Amino acid sequence: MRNKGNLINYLGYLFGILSLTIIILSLSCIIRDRPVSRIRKFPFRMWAPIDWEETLRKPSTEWTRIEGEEIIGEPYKNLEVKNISGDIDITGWKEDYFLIKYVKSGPAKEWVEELRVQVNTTENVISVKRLPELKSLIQRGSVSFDIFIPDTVKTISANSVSGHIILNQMPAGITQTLKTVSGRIKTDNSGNLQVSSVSGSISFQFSGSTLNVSTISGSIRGEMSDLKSGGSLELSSVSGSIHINADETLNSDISLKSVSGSISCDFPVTISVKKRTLLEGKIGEGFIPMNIKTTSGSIKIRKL
Amino acid sequence: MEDENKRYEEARKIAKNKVSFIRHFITYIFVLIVLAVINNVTSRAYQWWLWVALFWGIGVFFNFLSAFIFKGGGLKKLEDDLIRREMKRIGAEKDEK
Repeated sequence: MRNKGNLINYLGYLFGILSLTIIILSLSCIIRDRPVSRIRKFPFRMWAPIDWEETLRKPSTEWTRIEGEEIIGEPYKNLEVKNISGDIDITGWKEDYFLIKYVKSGPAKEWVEELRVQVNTTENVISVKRLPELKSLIQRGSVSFDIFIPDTVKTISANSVSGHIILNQMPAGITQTLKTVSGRIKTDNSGNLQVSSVSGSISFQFSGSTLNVSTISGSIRGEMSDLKSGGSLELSSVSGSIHINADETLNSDISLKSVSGSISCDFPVTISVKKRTLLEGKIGEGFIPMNIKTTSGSIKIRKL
Repeated sequence: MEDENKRYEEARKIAKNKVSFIRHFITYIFVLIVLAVINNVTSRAYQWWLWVALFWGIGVFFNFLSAFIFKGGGLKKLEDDLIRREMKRIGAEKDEK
């Protein structure tokens, strides 16, 4: 009995010392791996002489990055990009060829080496794909694309599961189809546009005839100008506000519906239905149908 | 007899604290191992389980201090001493009167 009592005492002291050791070790690991600007100065610098510049420059010592690029010289008209995890950036430029840059990265070297980027060209279509496609629920690394396109391109289709999609300096009038599950989407100078995201904000500049924008959780911000008749404008969000800036020539048959949020419009509207959650009417002659719906968020239509 | 009971209660409390600390530490280590495995299987980029190790570890260490180092209750003893001293002083004042 006495021996058992002694054992408990010894174990107690041993565990106490172990817990103190774990505290010190975990604290030192946290400080080493996650430098915070606030604790760079005295007294932390004395206790942990870390090369902060070096630490900040590297995203993580364990992550592996493999960069690559491909040049496609033919004037293809359609671009398709399919990704699973990683960002897609597409930029318009004045050169007459495609430049596809990519960065494969992941926490383990063997995972990154397993990732491949496939560039296929068929008649008028250039297709960029990350391989292998989704194999398991656990993502093994990501591929980020930075693609430069000439002004011969007429349609762009970009698809990602996790990662943003950003289009910059686009030539005017390109038909765009952009989809991501988790990540924001931004595009400029688009023609007909179809955008969908589950969790992420969307911003766009639109000057076409058909617009279809939807997100579940995220706001929508957009600019519309030089709208062409013959199409329709559909914008919907479940949890997020929708703010649109349109030029003064807007001629639209509007239906604005917000379940729990305000609705406001800078344009003079000939109102046909006005309720707390719904505004229907015409702006100008009302050539283009515009439906905007959100469940939780405000709707604003402003003049550019 | 009352004194004996009091001492027994105190001893029981100390023993209970010690056993409960041992149990607490074993739970702490077990949960940390599970969290570290989950963290490293899903992604090794960020070791978030260290935060749990740090803050829970502080709690475990305080538990150790109270069970093994300040087992008699440091402040409680001080309070008892003060009560005894005050009682003596009040008694002395009464005797003088």
